[in-house]
Amino acid sequence: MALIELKNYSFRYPRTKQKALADINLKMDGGMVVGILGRAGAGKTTLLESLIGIIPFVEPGHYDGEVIVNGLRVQEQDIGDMAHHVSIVLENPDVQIFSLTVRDDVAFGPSNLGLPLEEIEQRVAYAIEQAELKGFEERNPNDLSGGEQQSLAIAGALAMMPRVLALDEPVALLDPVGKERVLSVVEHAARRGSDTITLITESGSDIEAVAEKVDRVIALHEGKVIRDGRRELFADPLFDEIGVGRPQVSSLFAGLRDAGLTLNYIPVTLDEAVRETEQLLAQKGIEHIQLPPDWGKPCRLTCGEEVIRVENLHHVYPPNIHALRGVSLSVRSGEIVGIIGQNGSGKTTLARHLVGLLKPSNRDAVVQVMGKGVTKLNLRELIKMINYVFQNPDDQIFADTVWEEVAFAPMMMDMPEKESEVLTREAIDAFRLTGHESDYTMSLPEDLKTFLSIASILPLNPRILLIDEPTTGLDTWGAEIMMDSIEKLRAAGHTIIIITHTMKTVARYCDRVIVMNRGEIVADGTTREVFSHPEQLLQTDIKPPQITQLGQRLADKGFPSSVLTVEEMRDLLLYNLKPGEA
Amino acid sequence: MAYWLEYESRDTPIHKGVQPLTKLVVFGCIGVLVGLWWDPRYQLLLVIPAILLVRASKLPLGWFKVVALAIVTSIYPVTLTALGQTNPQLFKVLDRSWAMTPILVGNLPIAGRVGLTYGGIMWLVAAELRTLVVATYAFVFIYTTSMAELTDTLLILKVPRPAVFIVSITLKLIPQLQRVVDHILSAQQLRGWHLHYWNPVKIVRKAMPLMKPLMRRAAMLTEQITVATQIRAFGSGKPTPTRRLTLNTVDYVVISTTVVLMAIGLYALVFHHAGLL
Repeated sequence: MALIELKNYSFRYPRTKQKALADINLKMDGGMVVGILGRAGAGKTTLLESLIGIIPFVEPGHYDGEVIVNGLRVQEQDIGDMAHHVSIVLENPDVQIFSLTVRDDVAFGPSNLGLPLEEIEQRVAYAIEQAELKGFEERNPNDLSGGEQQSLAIAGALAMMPRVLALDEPVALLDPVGKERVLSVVEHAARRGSDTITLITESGSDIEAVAEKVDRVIALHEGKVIRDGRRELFADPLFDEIGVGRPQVSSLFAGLRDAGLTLNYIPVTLDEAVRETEQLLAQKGIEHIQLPPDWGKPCRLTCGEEVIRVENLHHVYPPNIHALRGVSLSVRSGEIVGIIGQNGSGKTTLARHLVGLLKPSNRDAVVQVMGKGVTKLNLRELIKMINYVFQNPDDQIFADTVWEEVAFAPMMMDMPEKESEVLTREAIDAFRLTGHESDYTMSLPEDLKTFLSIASILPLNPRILLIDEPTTGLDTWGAEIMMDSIEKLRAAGHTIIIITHTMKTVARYCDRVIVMNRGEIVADGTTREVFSHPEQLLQTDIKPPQITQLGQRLADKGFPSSVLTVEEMRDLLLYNLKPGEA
Repeated sequence: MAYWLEYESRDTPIHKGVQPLTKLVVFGCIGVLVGLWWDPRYQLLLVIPAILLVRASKLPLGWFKVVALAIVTSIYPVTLTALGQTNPQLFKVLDRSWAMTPILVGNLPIAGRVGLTYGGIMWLVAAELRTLVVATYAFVFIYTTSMAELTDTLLILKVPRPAVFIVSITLKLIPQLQRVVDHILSAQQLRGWHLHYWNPVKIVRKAMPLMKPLMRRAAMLTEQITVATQIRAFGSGKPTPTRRLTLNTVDYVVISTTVVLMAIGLYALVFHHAGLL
């Protein structure tokens, strides 16, 4: 009997017409890691929540069919009973941690099961080891990094000794090394027995990391299973078509095949890509590649006037947390600057200073925007020069319709009606919200909500836009639309600063990268310069994108260490493998 | 940085050196005495250890902004009750002629003699001091006791699980919501929103950009936390407390001293009216 079986299972949320899951028939056996892929809203979370009974007991709705886990019909059990068999780890570790110490938090679940104290202690020791948290037992979870916190959430789930461990986009909010840490824990967890299964959902931004770990792939689209197969399925172009995207190395080799190269297969992991590239080069007798004459042309020159100047900025949160330590930087107009760094490195604190939401802790700090001291300007003047879009659109959207939401800022600034209307229209068009003007904001899909949160700042026409995690929560399509729109804003004369953990986005779109670590700027240069020093980045928990890592792994073949995009790598390979056609 | 009503792990004697049960006993005894005492001079006896505890636990003083607001907003209704303290029979300990010394007294139809007297002022000060004392001890308890410690202690004390569940979820939710309010306020201010009105109707109307996202996020957070706790079987059966309640010497000394002092206080109150006005 399969460990998980869904028979003609459908689910529809209240007050919606479309089914979140439609006629799902799936069987999953133990001993493997299963990746559940799909765009935001494809039904991934609904599927996981159906396995433990959150659906329909906590989130009611209309369901048909059966969900059977470990021989139990989920709809006939209560969640407490199912917690013995299924455990879910959510995207945000913050809401899943309840206790003072790591040990206490891991013990929270087993103690709720009413197990004898000795068994609880055994389970805690096992889960802590599996989650690579040995030595952290007495630490306060609040003092852990994002990756460690998510590992703790996984340890808490593992201590329940579930046969099904389900992880809902567990790395979406983490820095690159945090992602790697969590996925390594997932790999450990997957080896806990042939009678257990690990499920992991993904909507695209971390598809490279997930592809490294899974054995089987299930693709969901609009609530239906559209693909189900082994890991090699990641190379299927269908993933591009449904907006999830493929791992960068798969896109690279698919491009090479389209260009006429004969390949053994399309790699989905970095190791496979390294082997396949070496083989391709060996077939052509190439030991050391040649770089095209125009290789490494500088990123866009930063020749505008200085629009942001920060000198010796310190910020101390009470009681004595030194969040910024003498930060100095300068930003020129027309740049797209990426600020990267591990969780808690000071990125958001710096952004809040730039828009006047925080005041420096030291008197000699300089924070100037367009030549004027931020602390001397009132907020209404400042927000027309520089503005900041928060990560979570739910923090600002309040109006009933899209038009009202975008028109709110000009109304607050007492703009004349005609001018307000023109600016609102321009903002709506800039983020592809045309046609959605009268849509109810709360029923918008996640990607449109994110676009709306940025569009609603635009009528103020700030010269500088700071955007916190513009692509988080978006699938690959959504992220591309977002970044294309941001590029257009730059072309229209805006300076853009983005704070992000998504290195693919930084490599593709940013002219310049600022790396922060423990409140200090540890690297500042063109994207190519910064990503060509992987050891330095690793010290700040940053890893370059997969395609850059491929170049770095092939350094002995003459590959540059600063390949930024799939297109660059494809051109480089074609230049060497098919010189006449490149 | 801890938000209001958020536990913070710190290396203070109150955080690490005292069991939650001891804190609960002290809090309970103080609560009994401050509830029964009406003389602000007696209540001041409870303020002194409260100040020491605030210092020892390094409780952020910003937490008292809310208490200050509560005291200021309650002055009007409390003063109304103080206006009624014009009957000399209400005062058992104070010299009645001194207590009845009028500051502003008049005769009203139906209500009779109302106004402010020295005794009424004592009543008013006692009512406000009570708020301060209770809030201070509650703050120290919350700031120094983690959710796991609190849950285990309440379970050991046989508090019903639904009540424990509600307390722990509330304590988890309050600081989370404050972070959300912080974000929402900043996000709306950056779109030119402000709330500089005195007209209450206008304030309510203009507060919508704050209230709507807040309500939505509160609902989402509540749901996420409820789901997270249910996934880990919270509330599903009889749990096993993971820490044994082992009181050390300090706990025994603090508990016995507090109980003895409370007993003396109650004896003096019942037989000698000590602490009454």
